[in-house]
Amino acid sequence: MRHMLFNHRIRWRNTEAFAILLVVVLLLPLLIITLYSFSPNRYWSWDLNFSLRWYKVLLDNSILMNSIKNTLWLTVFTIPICLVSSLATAHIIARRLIPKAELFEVILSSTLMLPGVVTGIALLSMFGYLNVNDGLVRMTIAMSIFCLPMAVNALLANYNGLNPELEEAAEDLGAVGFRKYRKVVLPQLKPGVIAALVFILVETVDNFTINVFLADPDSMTLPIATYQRMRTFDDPVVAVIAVLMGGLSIMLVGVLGKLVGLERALTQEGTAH
Amino acid sequence: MGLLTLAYVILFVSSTSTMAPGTLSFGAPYDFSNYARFADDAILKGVVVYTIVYSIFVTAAVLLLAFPFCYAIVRIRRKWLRSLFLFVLVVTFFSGTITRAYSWLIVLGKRGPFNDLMLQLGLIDQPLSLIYNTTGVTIALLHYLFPYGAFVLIGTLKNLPEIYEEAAQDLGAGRLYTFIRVIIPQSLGGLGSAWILVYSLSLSTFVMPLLLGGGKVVLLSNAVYREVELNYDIPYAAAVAIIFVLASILTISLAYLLGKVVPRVLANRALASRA
Repeated sequence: MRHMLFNHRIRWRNTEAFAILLVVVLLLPLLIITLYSFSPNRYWSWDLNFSLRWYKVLLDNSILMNSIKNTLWLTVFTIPICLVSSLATAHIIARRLIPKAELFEVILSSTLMLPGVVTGIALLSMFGYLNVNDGLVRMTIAMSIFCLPMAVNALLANYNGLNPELEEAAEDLGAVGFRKYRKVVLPQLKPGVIAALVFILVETVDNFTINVFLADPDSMTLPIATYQRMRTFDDPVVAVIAVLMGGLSIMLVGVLGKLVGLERALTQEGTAH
Repeated sequence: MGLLTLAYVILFVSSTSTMAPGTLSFGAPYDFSNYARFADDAILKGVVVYTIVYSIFVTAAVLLLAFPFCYAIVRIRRKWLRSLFLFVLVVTFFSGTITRAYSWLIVLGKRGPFNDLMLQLGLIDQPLSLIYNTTGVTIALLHYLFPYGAFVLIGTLKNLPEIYEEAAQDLGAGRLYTFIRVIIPQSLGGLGSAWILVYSLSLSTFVMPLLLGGGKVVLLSNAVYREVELNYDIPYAAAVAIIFVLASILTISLAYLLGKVVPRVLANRALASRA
């Protein structure tokens, strides 16, 4: 009504223009790198010719292809471990199943602020003591620990919106304990689970800072292999990897947007970190 | 699950107690000689201070950019434009740290598209050195941290009722005045949490200086990494790491306290000026 009376609808033209400019800058590296990945030459130039030369180089490079395989294995192991433990942890916190659950929650989310390099060294020395020498095992444990607080936060954000009446109804009908959890609580947690899955996946695929301490030559993940490639060669192969990462990212955003809604996932993410 | 967090704590304790000067292996004697060494290490102490100051600067820049951006996202009426903005933000967020650092290396390189364009437009005579120095690291870091700050701010700004802004304008307040006196005071809480998140991330930043710094930009994470990879001095690295954690906890809590105190002081001031 107010709008009609005063015709004062606030418009921030400058702010909007500024936002559009920022969006362009945000996208710029991904756009340029996509062009670069299709370049027939080793060096950047504005005359754009299309070639798949560097895609083929990537496919023929056994180190990089191996690292993609390693990364996939890492996610295959990490996702179920981390998801199950974060579901349990979130349930314990949300339902106050242990004393001082609030404090526990605060400590858990404050681990997100620990510097990755420090976590990497700490885990390295821990695995040294425990004589865990397999890179994949070390990284799986590390990533499960590292992603846990993020996943738990995404799930906890979801617990607030649960409908207690459904659970009461389930209890009246005889569903208690784990059966109640599986049939009534878990389906309602779907958006949180999807958000948690995406965070775990992204972090596991992308993490460099922690994994660089824990990987061994046979279990190098994609970011580590990419880094070594960058140090030894100067050609657009890494641009191809960047395009692949961009593609994965767009896919995940699509999944998030479709299943959870981007804005909702975003706010969960904001609280998650 | 809880055990995992406990493991975290134990391993930090263990990383302190292993300090002992040794060859490749380390063990007894357990003492604080590595901390004493740090106290005498002027270079590393300089790195600590530099990292803190640099992070404050970067965080301020991120929030300065992100705040109007998020405000625009929240208030935009065209739905498709808003979805597009969100889409770009999340795609950027997910698109890989190492590869993004690489992208900036290409974009800003001596013969890269940016310099090329500027040369062809005749805006510069010589290519600018934008990488392997602080400029490149800062640009890439802002790009990396921006989505984090934006997510937190969008979460807060979304809940701001528009009526206050309209009221302010109806009462004759200009746009800038509305922004400073009406919008910002209502979002101090969100700005505070965004500050803490972005600041803690930029303190621990590792990849951007590693790739775009060309060895010249050394932040705390890089210094710790160097001790491990180059000198194999894990005990000393662990000692520096512990100091690192302490420094971040200390400055983050300081920021947290400031975030609690400053809004209250401002509110009191506003009340006092009213009276």
